[in-house]
Amino acid sequence: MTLTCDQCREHLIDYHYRETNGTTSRAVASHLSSCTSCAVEYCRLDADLGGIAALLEDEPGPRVLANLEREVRHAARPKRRLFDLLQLRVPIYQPMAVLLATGAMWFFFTHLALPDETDSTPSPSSAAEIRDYDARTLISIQANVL
Amino acid sequence: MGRTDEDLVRATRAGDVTAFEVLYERYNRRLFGYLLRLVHDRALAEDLLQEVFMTVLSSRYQPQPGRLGGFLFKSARNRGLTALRDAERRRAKLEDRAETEADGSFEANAAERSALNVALEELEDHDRDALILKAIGGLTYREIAEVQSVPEGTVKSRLHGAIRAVRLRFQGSES
Ligand SMILES: [Zn+2]
Repeated sequence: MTLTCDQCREHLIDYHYRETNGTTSRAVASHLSSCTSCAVEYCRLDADLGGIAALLEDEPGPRVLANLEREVRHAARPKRRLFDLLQLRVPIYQPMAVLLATGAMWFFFTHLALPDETDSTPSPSSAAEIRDYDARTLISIQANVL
Repeated sequence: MGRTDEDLVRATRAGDVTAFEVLYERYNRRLFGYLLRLVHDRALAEDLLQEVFMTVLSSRYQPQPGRLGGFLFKSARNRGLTALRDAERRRAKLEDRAETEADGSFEANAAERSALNVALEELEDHDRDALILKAIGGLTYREIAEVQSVPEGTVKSRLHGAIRAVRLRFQGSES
């Protein structure tokens, strides 16, 4: 593929930015190596684009780098927040086991461990006897004294 | 051969401040230049630059070979445009533009910068955007096409037109 000067110059910007395909790049390079006029034009374009890029750059204030360095140090510090705990991966059997254990405890205490409420109410006499104290004996002692 | 961007990003996330400084040195002037021309406000451009670099620290960016430059400039563009849409910022922009151009920070190339600024201001917004994204962002035509939501051919003609206009303006200012 050979190029005329006009065709070559059409490609110079794309060639500079490496946006031409392999065939075109080789054709442009070949033309530039043999055509002084286009080679000079390419040098000027290269310098202009380099100059534009340099002029477009600008220096931010030092506070930006200082703030960012602080953030880098801060971000790398090991930490565990409540939110991180919420994100912890837990195997499915763990909450299932907790639920089962809770259910079993509820069933045990409500159905097996506590005796029937009517049986658990002692009669006045038996309650007294349990504590080895019978209030009726006191009454008989008082009657004997008097 | 220096460390790759991806290598530096990983080291930065592990808390290596020196690696971050290398990364910052590689991109800060280009990104800041782009942001400054987008928002015309140095303080706002610095805030946005900080936000852009912060995205590297977050997991939103997954390091891939040769992709960091494009990612940073796309992020800068999105943030810059969002900031511009803010009504208050837009009002401040008009007031601060004069300050930006008259604050004396462009000592060495003041005349050239001034000529470039004039030439850039005369361009259509999307032409200027294409030129800056290409000239200092190093984005490919395809990436710029994605950013601007236009075909690659449109990007190419916008860029060619913008470069031609800026060069003409420069040649005019030299003579
Ligand atoms: Zn020629």
